[in-house]
Amino acid sequence: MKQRTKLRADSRGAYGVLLGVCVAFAALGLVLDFVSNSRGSFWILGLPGGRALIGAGAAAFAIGAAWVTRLLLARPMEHHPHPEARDAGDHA
Amino acid sequence: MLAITLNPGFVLIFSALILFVTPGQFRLPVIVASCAMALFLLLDRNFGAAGAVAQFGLPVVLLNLDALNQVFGIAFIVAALLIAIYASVRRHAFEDSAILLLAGGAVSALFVGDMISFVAAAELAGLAAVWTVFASPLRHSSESGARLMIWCGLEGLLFLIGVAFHLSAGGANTLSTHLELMAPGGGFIFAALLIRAGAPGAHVWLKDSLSHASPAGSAAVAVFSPMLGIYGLARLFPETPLLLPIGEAMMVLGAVLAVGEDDMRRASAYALTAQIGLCLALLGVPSPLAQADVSAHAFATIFAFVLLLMAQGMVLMRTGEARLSLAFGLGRRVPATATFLLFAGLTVVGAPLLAPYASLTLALEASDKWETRWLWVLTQGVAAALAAPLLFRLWATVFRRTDAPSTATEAPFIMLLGAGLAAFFCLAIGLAPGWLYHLTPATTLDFSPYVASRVAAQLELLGCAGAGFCLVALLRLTPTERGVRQLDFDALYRGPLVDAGRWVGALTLRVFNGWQALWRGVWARAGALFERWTAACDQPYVVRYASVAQFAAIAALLAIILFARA
Repeated sequence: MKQRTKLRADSRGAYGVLLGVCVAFAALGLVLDFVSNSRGSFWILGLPGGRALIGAGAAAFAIGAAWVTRLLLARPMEHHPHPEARDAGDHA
Repeated sequence: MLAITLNPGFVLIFSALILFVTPGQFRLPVIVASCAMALFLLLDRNFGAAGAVAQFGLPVVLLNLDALNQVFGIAFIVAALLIAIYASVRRHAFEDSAILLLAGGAVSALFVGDMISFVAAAELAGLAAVWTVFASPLRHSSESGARLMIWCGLEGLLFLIGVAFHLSAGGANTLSTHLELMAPGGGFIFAALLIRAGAPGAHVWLKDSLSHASPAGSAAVAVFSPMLGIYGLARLFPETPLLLPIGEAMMVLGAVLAVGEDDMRRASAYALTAQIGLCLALLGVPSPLAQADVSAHAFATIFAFVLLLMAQGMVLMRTGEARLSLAFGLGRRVPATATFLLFAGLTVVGAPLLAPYASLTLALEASDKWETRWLWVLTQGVAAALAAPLLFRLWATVFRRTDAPSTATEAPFIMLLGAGLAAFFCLAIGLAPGWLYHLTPATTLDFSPYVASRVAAQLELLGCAGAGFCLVALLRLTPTERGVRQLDFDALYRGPLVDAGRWVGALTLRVFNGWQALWRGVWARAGALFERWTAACDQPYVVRYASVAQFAAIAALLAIILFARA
């Protein structure tokens, strides 16, 4: 339990640094996007700031998909010491 | 001046055979020399066909050079060279031969000009891919190779049926014509190429092979097998509308399965599926820009995934597992390898200044209209979603502090050199994409990816995706990193279907045994009766009621024959 708490705290540090970097790039991109928007767009997501929406949506999609696949498709490794045991070789 | 009209792939195939008898220290020079020779043969010729002969009344064109196969050929040969350098750290003649044969088969398939030679070369490449997986020292690689062989067999069968239908229906034996999906043969060839490209359903062979092949073998299989499928589709089925939804489905499927994957090499395979999906979707867009970007994106993807799989292979080699849940603190223990991993992740997601950025921006330009708006969204959204497993989760894992003792050290210098060269190519293409655009079939392509609006859009996209993901991770709302085995479509036919097949087999065997026992009983009874009857016939002088009746019946029959009149 103690180790888990420590690991989580350390992970937060790494994510914190990455968050700072990403926010800086996002801010730079947003500013440049609004400043340099010289051409029209064929729909709303192509307007300045639209890529920010797509990026945030992609992050939400990634997290949601990770949860769904983890819940539906993931099997713990410890219960399957030989995960490839049921394959063509066994039935050859 | 002597003009050599030799298919560049034949040089690699010949060298692959020589490698068997080449001492270990000379194998890398042989591979480098053969790749240099193949590159020379490729670049020292003008476009056009050569080496045409007739076999059984059919034209066989062993060399046909044009812009489409040239761009793929350059990428294949340079990738083969990088993989050879990377793999030279270990002595494994069989795997070296298999990888070079795979490269040779794929390059040969690129440059032949007729359909039969294409199928033959593609199948040679497929079998060499199987051999590459078999040659892997990893656990269960032989079973994975057997599964890949089944896929290759299915693909080869479809190819053969397709070509037979095509030729028997009067179709030309050339790769210069575009096939119709509904024409005889076209559908079968299309299905075979989709299997090779790893379309939904057939995508499982890619992740299965990549996760079981050796570090060098996985890079080779990733480059030469599915990319040949893209080339085949670009050659025979350009602007086929069905490819657009298939490609989009591959993009979504790849992204969904990659984001939760713990095994880094499987996540890479799914990411590759998504990128191949983009190529296929672009093939379905009827515009010259989209068609040109297919080869550009395949070219950039080849180098990006060579680098990614090389970096993951170094982790696998040093730690025995390439899993995110086991990569804690990798950044401190093996900083060079971790740097390559992160650089590769940045490359794959299309960060500016790196190769895929050049082709992704072109893809956005090609799909920048209302009819292809979902491709436009997916091109960006999938790249940002793939950043979750290949960049964000990886970053948090490799830079996570851990007290666990580890004896892992950096990979050997020659492996780092191979990965470094791959990174150099990614950077070089990204910094100066003009020559890549010039290589594409659209020779008049004039596109600049480094205008402020395009760079800003990509920074905004990746920055917001990263910020969103990190915020949620800091709130502890993302799944924890733990060792899991993620099931895929193949779990269906390797699990329940196998059980069902076994159950049906056992039931059928029982029914068959019961049927046999029944028949045995019936025949035994009939035999016993027959035996009794023959025994009775053998005793004609024993008077019995049956004998009297038999005698009377015979007498009646004789009387009828003699006296009856019509």
